[in-house]
Amino acid sequence: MNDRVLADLAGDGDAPPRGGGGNLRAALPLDIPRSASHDELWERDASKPAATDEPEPEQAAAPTPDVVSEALAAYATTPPEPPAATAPAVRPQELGEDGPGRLVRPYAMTGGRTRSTGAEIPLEALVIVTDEGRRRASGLAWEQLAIAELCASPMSVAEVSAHLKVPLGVARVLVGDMAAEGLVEMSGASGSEQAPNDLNLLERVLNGLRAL
Amino acid sequence: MAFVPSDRSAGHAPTPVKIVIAGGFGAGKTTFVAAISEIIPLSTEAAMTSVSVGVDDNTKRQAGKTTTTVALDFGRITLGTDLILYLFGTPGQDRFFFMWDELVRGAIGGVVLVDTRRLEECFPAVDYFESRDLPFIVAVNCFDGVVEHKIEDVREALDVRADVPIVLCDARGRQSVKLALLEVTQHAITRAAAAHSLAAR
Repeated sequence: MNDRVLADLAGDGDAPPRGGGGNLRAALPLDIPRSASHDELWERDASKPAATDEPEPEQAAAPTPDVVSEALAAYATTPPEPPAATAPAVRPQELGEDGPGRLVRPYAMTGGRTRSTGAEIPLEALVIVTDEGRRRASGLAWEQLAIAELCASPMSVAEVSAHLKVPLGVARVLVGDMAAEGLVEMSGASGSEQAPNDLNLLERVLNGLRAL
Repeated sequence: MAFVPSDRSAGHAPTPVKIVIAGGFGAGKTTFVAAISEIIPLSTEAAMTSVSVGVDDNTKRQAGKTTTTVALDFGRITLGTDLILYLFGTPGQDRFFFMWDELVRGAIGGVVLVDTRRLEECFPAVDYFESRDLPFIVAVNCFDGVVEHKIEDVREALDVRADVPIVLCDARGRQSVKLALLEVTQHAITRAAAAHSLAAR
């Protein structure tokens, strides 16, 4: 009975938070009451490490009637999420085609954002972990830790995206956030606009290629 | 994890540069990149704005901007201690004329790989590079070492400017690919030098 109520809550006709359709819903943990705001829900999903000791599974197994009615009441009074207040709509294809097999939806890692605070980071911008990033490694979320480890030697944003198997847009947001926190630094993140006319740089490329 | 000296700064980090490899579907872009890349070429999903040109075989033309997710393949070549060259292949779906702005921004040049059996498939790439004033060369991919067309015939068919280098290339051969990359870099230098001397006058 209670399970059924929760299932109804999770499977209602309301638009899914980020437009991901069935896949998205399937990937969401059903044990989180619908009363949780969407942002909170994604936040939780994003920050959830591989192992967690949150008591949610028990909640799901035996929710008290209070929880359910609260959830229902909250749901009934919760206005629909303002469209794309913090994040532009994510098209389903950007979420990848591999369905619920992914443990965390890519844009869940970014809290649904597709833009970082910084300027658009070029594909080839090199990311290098900083001392600060190394020092704080143990306290980082897993995706940040993965980036910090990957970027022990310089690694482009495109490579970060490929190695983490997340879309480029997600890699950009993650790296942008880490740069803003001083966990990584970037090379070629802004100045590449003038590169084509930099004779000195071009000569270095030519010499480098010749030496191959 | 070992600590590095704290005086390490972005000034000592390598500089990234990129060259864009374009061409029709099946022209050998992936082979070209793989032949010289120091890593097994990687792939990433990227959202790109495109203009559909409606080449479906029925007559109804569809035009309009859409955003499509495409797979970008790329390779990497470390050039010394302070320079890393990335080779980005353009997405191969010939149904779309992609707005490769992001791919091309900051690139030092482009290579248009041509399969002479399907010459017309590289027209969008040539048009695009010309429109963005990106230094590019045309590399005629000689499958199995067979040269089916003379370079001047290719130039005429593609209608590229006389100063655009056209080279023969075996996309499977590292040396051949290296020569093509040298050619496009040299072409970029020539163009940049001309622009500089023009500005100095």
